[in-house]
Amino acid sequence: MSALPIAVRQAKLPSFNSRLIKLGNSLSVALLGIFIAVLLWWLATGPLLIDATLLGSFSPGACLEALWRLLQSGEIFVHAAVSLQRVLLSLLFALSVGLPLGVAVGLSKVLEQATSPLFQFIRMISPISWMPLAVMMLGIGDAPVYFLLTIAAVWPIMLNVSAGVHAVDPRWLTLADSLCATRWETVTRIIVPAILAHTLTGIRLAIGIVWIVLVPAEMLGVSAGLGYFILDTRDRLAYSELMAVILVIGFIGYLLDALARLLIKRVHHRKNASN
Amino acid sequence: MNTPLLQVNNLAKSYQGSRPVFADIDFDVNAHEVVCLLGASGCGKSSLLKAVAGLHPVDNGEILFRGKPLHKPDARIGLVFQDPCLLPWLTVQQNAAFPLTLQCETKLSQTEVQARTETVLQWVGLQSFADAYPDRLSGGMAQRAALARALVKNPDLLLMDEPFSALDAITRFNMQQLLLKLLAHRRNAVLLVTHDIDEALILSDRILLMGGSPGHIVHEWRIPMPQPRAKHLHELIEIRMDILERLSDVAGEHLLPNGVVT
Repeated sequence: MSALPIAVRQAKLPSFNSRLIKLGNSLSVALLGIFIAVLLWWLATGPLLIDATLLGSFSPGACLEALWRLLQSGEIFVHAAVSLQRVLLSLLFALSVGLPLGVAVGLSKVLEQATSPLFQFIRMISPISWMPLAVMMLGIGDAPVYFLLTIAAVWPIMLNVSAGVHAVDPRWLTLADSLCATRWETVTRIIVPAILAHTLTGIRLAIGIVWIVLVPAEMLGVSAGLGYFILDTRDRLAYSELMAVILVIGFIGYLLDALARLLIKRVHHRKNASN
Repeated sequence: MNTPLLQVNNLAKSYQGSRPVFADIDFDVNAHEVVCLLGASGCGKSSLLKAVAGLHPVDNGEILFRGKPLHKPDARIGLVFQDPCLLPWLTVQQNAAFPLTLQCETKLSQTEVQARTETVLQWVGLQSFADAYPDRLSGGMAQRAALARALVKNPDLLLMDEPFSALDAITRFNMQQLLLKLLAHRRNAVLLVTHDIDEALILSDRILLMGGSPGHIVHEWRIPMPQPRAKHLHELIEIRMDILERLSDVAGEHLLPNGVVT
C-alpha cells in the first residue's frame, strides 16, 4: 500500500482530460507548423507575381490537384509499391548481412579490432558514389538499385547490433553459462532477443538512409519506382505531378519512420519496465 | 559412509594482479543437506559459490561433485542469483521452462515440458501468473519465478547466492518459508550464501562462517533443531550469540595489519 496521501497520488497521475488537452495542444502546434510551411511554399510559388505560370505549377493547390489525379488513376500506387518492395527487400538483405556480422563483431574483440577502422572507412563513403561501380558490375536494372540500397542500410544495422551485443546484461550470459547453454544457444536464445531494441534502432536509421538513397538509385535506368517517376514527371514537364511525388515520398518516409519508432518504443517499454 | 554430494578441497582463488579472494577452503555438502555460507559482504563467499558452480576457474584445490572433478557448470546443479535475472522477453512460464529447452537437457516433448513447468509454478504459487511478463511481477514474485526456473530441472544441488537479500523483511520471511516447504518436499541439497545470521539459523543444517582476508572458513556450526525452528528460539539464540562472538573475532582479525592474528 502506498504511503502517499490520496490527494498527492491523484496530483501525480494526470487525468484523462488533462492528457487529452495536452495531446490537443501538441497537435495544434504541429498543425500550425505545417500551415506556416504550406503558406511559405505558396508564397514562394509566386501568387503575387503577374506572370507566374511556371511557378504556379509548383504551388500547393496545383500539387494537391495533381496528387488527387494520381491517386484516382492509381499510377502513384504502382510506383510506390515498387519502391517499397525495393526498400523492404534491401532491408532484408542488409539485415541478413548486418545482424550476423554485428553479433560476430560484438562478441569477438579481435574481430572488432580488425574490422573497426575498415568498417568506419567504408561507412563514410556515400552510397551514391558506388553508383557508377554498381552499374559497371551489375548492369542496368534492379540489381544495382538493390546493391546501393543494401550497402547503405547494412552499416547502421551492423553497428547498432554490435553496440547491442556490448550492452547485453552480463547476468543473462552468466545465467546461460550456469544452465550449460551452448554457444549457439547463448547467441540465439539470449543475445539475439536481448539486442532487439538496438536492432530496431539500426533498422530505423537504415530506413532513413535507404529512403534518401532510393530516389537517386531509382534513376539508374529502371522503369518504375518513385525515383523513376520523379525523372518521368520532369521529362514530361509535369511539375505539379513532380511536387505531388515529392509529397508522397516524404509521407511514406514519415510513415515508415513512425512505424519503426512505435516498434522501438514497445520493445524499450518492456525492457525498462522489467529492470 | 556415503560420499558427500559436493566436496571442496583446499580451494583458492585470486583475481589477476590483486590479493587472493579466498584460500584454504575445505567443506562438503551431503545429499539433502542445507549448508549456509555466512559472511560479511566482500569476504569472497559469492566468488566461492560461482567457483563451485563451475562459472569461475580456481587457482588451487579441487571441487568434486558426486565424486567427480567439476570444472564447468553441471546440469544437475541449479543456481539462484541475488537478482531474479528473468529474461524480459519471455513469460513466467517460458522463463521457468527455459532450462528444459536447452540441448544439455534430455530431449523432452512439448507436453512434458509444459507439465513440468506447470508443476514447478504450482510449487512456487505462480500458476496464475504463467502468462505474465517479468515486468508485471513484484520482487518476491520474480524471485519465486527464478526459484521455479532453478527447480524445474530437479537439480541434486541448489546453489543460492543471497537470493532473498533484495527483498523486504516480510517477503523475505515468506520466501524462506516457501524454500523450507519446497526442500521438505523435494529434498534437494542446498548451498546458500547469505550475510543474514537469522536466515542461516532458520534455513540451514550447518553454518559455515567465512571471513578474513583472503576469505576462509572460520568456524562451523551444526544446527540439530528440527523445523520449524521458531519453536527452538532459545537454542538458536545461543548459537546466534556464538556466531556474533566469532564475527567480532573475524572483524578484529581483519583489522590487524599484515594479517597477523593474535
